[in-house]
Amino acid sequence: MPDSPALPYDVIVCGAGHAGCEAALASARTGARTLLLTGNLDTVAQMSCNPAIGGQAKGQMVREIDALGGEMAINTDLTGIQFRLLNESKGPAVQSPRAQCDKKAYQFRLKHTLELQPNLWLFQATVTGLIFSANSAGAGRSVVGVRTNLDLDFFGCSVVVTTGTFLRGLMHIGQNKNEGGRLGDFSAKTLSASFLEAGIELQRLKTGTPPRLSGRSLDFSKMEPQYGDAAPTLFAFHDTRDPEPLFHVEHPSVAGVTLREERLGWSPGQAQVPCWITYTTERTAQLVRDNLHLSAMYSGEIEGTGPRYCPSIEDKFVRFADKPRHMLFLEPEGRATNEFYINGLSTSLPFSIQVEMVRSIPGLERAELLRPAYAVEYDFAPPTQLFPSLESRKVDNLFFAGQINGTSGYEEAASQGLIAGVNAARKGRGEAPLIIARHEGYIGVLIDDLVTKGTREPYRMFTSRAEHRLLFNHGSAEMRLVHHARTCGLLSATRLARIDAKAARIFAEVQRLEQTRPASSLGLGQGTWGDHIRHTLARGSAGLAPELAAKVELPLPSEFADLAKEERAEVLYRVAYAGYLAREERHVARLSEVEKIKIPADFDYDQVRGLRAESLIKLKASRPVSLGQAGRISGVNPADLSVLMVYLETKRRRAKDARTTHPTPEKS
Amino acid sequence: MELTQAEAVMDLIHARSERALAAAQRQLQGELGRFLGELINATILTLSQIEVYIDFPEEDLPVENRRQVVEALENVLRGTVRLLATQAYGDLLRDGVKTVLLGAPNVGKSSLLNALVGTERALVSPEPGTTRDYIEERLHVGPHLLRLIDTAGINPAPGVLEQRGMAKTAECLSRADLILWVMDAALPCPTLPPEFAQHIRPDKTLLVRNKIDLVFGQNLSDEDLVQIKGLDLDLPLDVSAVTGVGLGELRAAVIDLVDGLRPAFFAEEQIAINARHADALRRAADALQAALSGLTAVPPLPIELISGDVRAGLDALGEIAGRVDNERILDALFANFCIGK
Repeated sequence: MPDSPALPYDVIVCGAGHAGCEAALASARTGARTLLLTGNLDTVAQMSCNPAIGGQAKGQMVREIDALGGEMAINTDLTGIQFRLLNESKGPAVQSPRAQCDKKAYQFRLKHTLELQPNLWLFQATVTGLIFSANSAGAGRSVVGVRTNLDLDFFGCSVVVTTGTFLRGLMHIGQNKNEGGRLGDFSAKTLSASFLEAGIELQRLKTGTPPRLSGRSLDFSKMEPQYGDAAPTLFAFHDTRDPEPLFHVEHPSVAGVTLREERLGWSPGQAQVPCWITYTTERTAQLVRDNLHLSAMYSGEIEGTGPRYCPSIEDKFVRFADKPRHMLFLEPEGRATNEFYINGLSTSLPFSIQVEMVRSIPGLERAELLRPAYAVEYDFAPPTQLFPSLESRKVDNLFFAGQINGTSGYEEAASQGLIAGVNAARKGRGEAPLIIARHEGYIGVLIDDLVTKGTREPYRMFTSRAEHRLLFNHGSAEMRLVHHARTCGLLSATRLARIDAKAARIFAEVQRLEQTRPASSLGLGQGTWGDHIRHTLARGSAGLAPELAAKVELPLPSEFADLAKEERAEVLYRVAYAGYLAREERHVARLSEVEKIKIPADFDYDQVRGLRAESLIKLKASRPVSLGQAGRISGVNPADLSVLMVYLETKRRRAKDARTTHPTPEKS
Repeated sequence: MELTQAEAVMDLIHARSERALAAAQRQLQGELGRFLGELINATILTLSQIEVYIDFPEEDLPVENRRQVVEALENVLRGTVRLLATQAYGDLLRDGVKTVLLGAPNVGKSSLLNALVGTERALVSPEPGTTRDYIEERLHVGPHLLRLIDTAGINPAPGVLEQRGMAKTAECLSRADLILWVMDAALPCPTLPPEFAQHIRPDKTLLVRNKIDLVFGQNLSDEDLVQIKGLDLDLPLDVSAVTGVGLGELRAAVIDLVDGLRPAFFAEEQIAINARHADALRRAADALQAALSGLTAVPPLPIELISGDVRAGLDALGEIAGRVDNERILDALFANFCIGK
């Protein structure tokens, strides 16, 4: 392995969680020689909290990851043990795939993927510090490598940091405290000092996880089963995917033998297992109330801010005291284990109380706890210190992804990892960064929110964060992002060609349905096929949900029927929602005008007359890259934007006039 | 935002005096800001009640209450429309109260106008139908500025020329803030054609019985009473443009009626929104109306489309009071619903 300053890696990725794995794969797949360092190779891509991928907004993000050549989607499809499409009764834009995964299978398959990836080297070592040098311009600094606990230094042109909850991780169970980012794991204690040395501000966040239970001690007859969908919605775009050697955890690839997805015994979506639903009782509530003073979160032991959308059971009973019971889900952790995750019972109460609490719940009366619930506090670097490329504003060539940026969730982490990995590789080659615009997908919304607004709690994606979510139906991810995948070399030529062909079929069919009329012999009356589809769907009890179009009582033309199922769904969505989607596109077009107006990095806001003092302070602090980004900073109002816009536009015109009237600059 | 718009705002900032800007700012912080703030908070709360069922389909939430959402949106819409009405009051202050003189030919509308104005601005002749086009005159009545619009008379059997004049009259009536309907005390009042009658509303119409000097003491005919009652109007004011009898009472009645046009809810601080505010409020009202139509349609529109309309309404309100960040919707959502597993 190349490990001297004379021969550095192109990219070093620190951490092999969901962010680190995508970063390393994306970097290596675009041709950069990449080193992935992890404190423990046996916990690569570990699901530290619940064993599930996807859900509202997150499911759409996973499909976007697949559209950009990432691994999370296919890995979920091949290790998922239950698949459900959420919000099936609502419109396609807000439908999201979700899967329970086999936790160990997920890890093993992803580790194997990393091992097989050309251009990627793995090594087990804990990063203890960064190695800096003065940057080329002489101002500020750049990162050139990392130090590890083994006293081995590694050098790289770019470094991606994905520390998860490990940066000064501190776990709480009641009054009990243990250093570590995850139960049974270590804490990265010295790396924080490197960030502080480089002037990177750090703050604390908190998150928590519930107890794990032994399946043999549970009485499922007292719980309600929740099954997967009979026809599972998968995450990867299998219809355009290359017939690449895809391998399965139970059938590792053998030298010389190409294994294909369809040949595997555990094919995606088959032999699903249920989750189980139960509820807390009055006794549970009483236990929480009586012991609140022992909870780490309520006794002042924890300084970090926790997520509101993932409250501890203490929070639920205190903040919503009038709600008599809370719903809990028992999620299986895999096929080859009897361990269950109890979703909804996150807590930092002492272990003895946890046991009593669990046993106050129907079906769990004799439950054996395999692991306690705990809360974990960790350092994060407020992401407003980043460029939209995820590169640090303070240190050149240093990229951040995942929980260190204040996010929560595997999907949020993986999305950032992919972008950071691509951009770290591109930076080394002197190429422009990959930036997904806010109107192109959830990944764009995620990163723009982070770098523009920052976050006060672990940031999770919701569909309501996206202004243009009507455009973000999960099935359109490939078509929305294919231009980026092409520019950055994230997909094979074969797959790009398949996506192009698919898009062409969809556009052509939409156009045909909008322009042709049913034969009069069908007796449907006036109007194009599009009009008839809209009319029929609007009358239906399910609103306009095209997924139900199979039931549409229209003799749709054979050209339509000949398309693949996913293509038919996309065509119907575009036809049924045509007016709304067009309105959204117009809105985007209007907004993207301001995105195009760039603000130079060294722009002097003090020159601009008419800005309010509050806006001036905010703009100088966050230094937006475009007028569009400036508009999303809270406290910067439309009048300030107008002032800024006119100033920038006037300056641009003057510069242009100067160029046209003086083609050769005068010498003085 | 387009560049021209941006430039307009710049003009406002630079060209106008500091005091004008400060005054606008005060208004935003004052009554208008407070009222808008309430509308925005109500919209955010409603949006959170919609979004929670979209973003948290797996939660143990109370049964969705669309009726409550509809009522809340109707309230916001009413508030928006009320606020919009203050633009009309602003116009009223600036441009004057659009006052239409209506009546049969030769009842003395022009004479009455002249008596009120005190000049010979309108052409007066004993020949019926002299005023075929409409002319405008401004006069102060008490604290109010009236923009008088004299119209062609009502003619039961109009010629081509008169027909054109009558179409214009109907248009004037539809836009009038105040209608002075003049009748001849000596003659039976002709029946108003339906295209005129539809614009006659008791809150903006004063009935005037001119030429009272010719028939002093004579009562209204039963036919006239039936028509007046049918239109829900008060009994006419008796005046004479020639002798000046009743003109004082007419002025008092006009002042009283115009006072009533002023929106009642901004008692202390006057709110008179400007054209930019009105544009944003109109778009907010349209978006809220669209959301309500979607909610009450059978079957209702998919909820994410309704949410889009509500969000558009919120954004439009935010153009006046300051952009509403998505985070505020989530704040409301987490404050009101027990979310999280």
